[in-house]
Amino acid sequence: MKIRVKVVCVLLMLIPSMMLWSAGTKEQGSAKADGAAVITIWDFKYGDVQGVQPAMNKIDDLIMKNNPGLTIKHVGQPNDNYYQLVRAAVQAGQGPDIVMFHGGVQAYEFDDYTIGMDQYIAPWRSEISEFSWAYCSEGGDGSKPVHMVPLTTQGFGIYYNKALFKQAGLDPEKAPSDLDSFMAACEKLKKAGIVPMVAGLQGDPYTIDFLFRCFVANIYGDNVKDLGTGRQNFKGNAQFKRAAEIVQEMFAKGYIDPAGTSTPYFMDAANNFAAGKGAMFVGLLSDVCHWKVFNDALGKDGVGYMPTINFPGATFKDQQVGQPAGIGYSVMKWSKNPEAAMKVVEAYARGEGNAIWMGMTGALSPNKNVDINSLGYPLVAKILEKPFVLDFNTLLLNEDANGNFDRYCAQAFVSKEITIDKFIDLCQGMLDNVQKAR
Amino acid sequence: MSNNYQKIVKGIMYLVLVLCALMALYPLYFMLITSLKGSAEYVHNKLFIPNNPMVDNYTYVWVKGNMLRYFLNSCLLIPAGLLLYLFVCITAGFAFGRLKFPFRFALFLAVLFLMIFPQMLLSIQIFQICRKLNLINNYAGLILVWVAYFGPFGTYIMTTYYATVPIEMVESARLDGTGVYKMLYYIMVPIAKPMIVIIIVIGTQSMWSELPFSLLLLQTESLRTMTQGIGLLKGQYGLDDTILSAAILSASVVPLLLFLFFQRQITMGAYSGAVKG
Amino acid sequence: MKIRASRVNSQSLEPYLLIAPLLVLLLVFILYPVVANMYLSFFKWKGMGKATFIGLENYRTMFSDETFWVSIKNTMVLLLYIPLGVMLPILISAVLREGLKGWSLFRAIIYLPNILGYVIMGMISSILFRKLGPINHALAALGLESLALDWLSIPILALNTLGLVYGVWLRLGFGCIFFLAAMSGIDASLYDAAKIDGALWWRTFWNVTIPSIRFSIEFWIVLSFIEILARAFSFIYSFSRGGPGFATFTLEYGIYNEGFVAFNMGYASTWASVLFIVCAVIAYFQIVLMRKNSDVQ
Repeated sequence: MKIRVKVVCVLLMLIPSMMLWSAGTKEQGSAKADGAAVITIWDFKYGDVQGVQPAMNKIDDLIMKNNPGLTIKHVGQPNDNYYQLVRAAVQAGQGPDIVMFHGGVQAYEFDDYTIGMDQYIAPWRSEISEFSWAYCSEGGDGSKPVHMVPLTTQGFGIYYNKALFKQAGLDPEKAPSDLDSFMAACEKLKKAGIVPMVAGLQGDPYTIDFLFRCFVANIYGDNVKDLGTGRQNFKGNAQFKRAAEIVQEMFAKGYIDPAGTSTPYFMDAANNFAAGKGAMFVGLLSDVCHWKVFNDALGKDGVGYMPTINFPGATFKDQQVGQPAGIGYSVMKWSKNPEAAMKVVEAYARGEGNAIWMGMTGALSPNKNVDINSLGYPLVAKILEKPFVLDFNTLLLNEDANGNFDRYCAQAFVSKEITIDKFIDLCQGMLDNVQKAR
Repeated sequence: MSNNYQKIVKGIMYLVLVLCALMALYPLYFMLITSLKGSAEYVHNKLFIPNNPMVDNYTYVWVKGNMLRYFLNSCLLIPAGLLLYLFVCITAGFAFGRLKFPFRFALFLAVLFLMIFPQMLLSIQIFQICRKLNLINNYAGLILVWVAYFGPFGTYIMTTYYATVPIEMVESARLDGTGVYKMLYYIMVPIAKPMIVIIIVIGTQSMWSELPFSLLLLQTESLRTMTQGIGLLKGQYGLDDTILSAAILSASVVPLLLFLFFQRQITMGAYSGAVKG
Repeated sequence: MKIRASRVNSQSLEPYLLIAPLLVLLLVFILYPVVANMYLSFFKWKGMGKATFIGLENYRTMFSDETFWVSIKNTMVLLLYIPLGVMLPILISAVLREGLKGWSLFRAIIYLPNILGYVIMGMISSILFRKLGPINHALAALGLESLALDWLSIPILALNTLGLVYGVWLRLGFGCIFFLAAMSGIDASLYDAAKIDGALWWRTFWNVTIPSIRFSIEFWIVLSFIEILARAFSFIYSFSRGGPGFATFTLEYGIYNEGFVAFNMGYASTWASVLFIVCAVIAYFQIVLMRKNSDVQ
């Protein structure tokens, strides 16, 4: 009995002491009394302890070294609930100084709460293209102030394994330039016992999603923006239907990895391609599932690239689909030290910090001054040969861009529970939603 | 009844139990072998025992993934939470189960009714309330929310338990004029002894793996729980199954050990050991 | 459970003092959010900034939303697994109760999946049930290749796999503990009587065990409803994200999707009101059940 009393007392004393302890670690981004500035950054990439965190720590250290009196508190937040947390912070009217956003709709929603940056970026504005700045402006309108500094550009394209191409009797240096040669190549690969296109279809079928983005680039080219204004549509567009039929055909002929439905795109499908389990892969251009990973795995001369599949009837050819800003940093209006915050952001976006960023993480930086060749990956130069065409996904509402489109792809091509026409209707519905939201 | 019949029935029973046990163990086994494979091996060998077992994934999770910190946090947070949880469930359970007072039934139903709601429904407002009460980034806030959310179920269990306790036990220990908190110490807790283990197990399991509320209320690195840690590790593009398995197993170690250690004592009634044979 | 149920009369404020901590917590952290949510369903709100009053428009949108009806249909299908989710734990508990050697070890092992939690079991299930995953591999090894289907990518299979794993299998762990406790209160003399009559195991099970734990079974049914309607989200999220397509998209998942992906908070609250009403109806039946039974009165 006595012992139990003691135990209970000890435990009871634990609670208030813990509360004191946790209260003591309350962290806020604010200026300290002695005039030094503490800048808090929220980030959904910081949790990547292998690739991104070391790079960001290095850049933060560099910034703090160059700016004595400036302390950076870098907080990683979980990706799945990131925007929930940011909105909660906005609702509370307080939070970090700098917030990372995905470029596009997700950033525009916060325009009212982020500062305009034009005055701060003026000295070095020319280092990043106006194409990217426009995308990072209020509502994506180039005539309005810039609200976000882009850290990466993202894009999609088709990588291929040169060794496997050779093995099937194809020319490893020549990517298929039109639909017929593409299909013929797939057929040859299949006959040689090689999976033509490695696919990640479990959960969200990103392979199909990204492939469509490549197709759409060839259909609308520079006019992709019109999809967002209603001047162009998916419904009634024969080319779009043709593209859907091509995807259907690829499935029917077995060119898409039959193991695809057991493979999530991230990271299993990419790992499969890197391990040489298939000839082609619809991949990204920055960050992950891209040139760095595949070149490291298959050799600097082992990977080929084509931006898209050219098909008859498409208005354009060889268009490279991209997002002018994949992720970027914005400064919140409640920040007590906007100048200091902008210094931090600037250090990430240009100069030595930017070089570290690109070199260590494999991100594709939109900064023109970055020396691509110093990276040591010739493939990147090939990828960046062509200017980007806007990715239609960036025009869609949040839930369509990050969920519904993938669901429609799964319904149409994986489980085949809806027809191509219904698929096109649903895609059109996504465009209509954009109009309704205006 | 013939002996043969008995034997066959027993045999079938054993078969059923063994089958269930195997199915319950397989996920853990699969996680274990997956966590011991390197990413390169996993691409080619998804189903079987690793040819080159390695503990790299665990190093990644515990060292690089900062899991040690989160582990300590969880170890500190859960017992504190359990204390309040036990206190609330025992007191309310005793009152509902053994005392008679106006509106008892209505209040009890209200408590059960509030058990229904999904967590995410409550998230936003809970965040706002906690902000107003200055309970963000504070373990006290999270504990209060946890007890509010998991309390009704624990209270129900304690209520049904207390209701089955013989009246004599209560009467004998209760003297006229005994204050409430003396009653707690001398009556309620001793009587509840058989149930404490099950409440602790249920409470630990709920709180350890709880995510939505911890996510919203604990926003800084130094406070995060282990379950949040796994979410962080996942990042934007998900984790390799190999590392994920290591993370999951690491996060499950404590609840598993706790359960296995106490499993003999887990009963839900005063009649423990009422199993035949 | 036969109890000598009589309550100690309490004149003072004592009982209220005892239940006060729980009630205060519930009022602040549960009741207020629920009411606020109901109120929110008449507004349009993005999770930050202004909330605009739009009356019943959210409800109008919801009833013409195809996804809403799909989610209702999916939820109904999951509810169909409740009978199995009730029978299996009872059966296994009855088997455990026989006192076979090592029964408590079996009970412990069966509880393991519950210890891991829904999120983890969801992740594990999404790996185990792949077309090229271990379960299909085992089926093929047993010669049942034709049963090795794509459990996760064919919509109807995904939904039913969800029902089976979440609605039945994951009930087993806690179910055994719950029903073993319930069965422990059964009068042993009833079994002796049955033995004298020469009843077989199955007969005894139906005629003695089941009726004796009627109240527990009723409570378990209500609990199962709640688990499927309002607690399945974490499992579904890590299992399939509501997919493939909309195959495992339930009402509860829809609340999450509208609220935290689309950030249409007002609209999400509308879906939540529907869930609330369904749960309220079920809770009503729970009241009716409990009133009938003298156990807790």
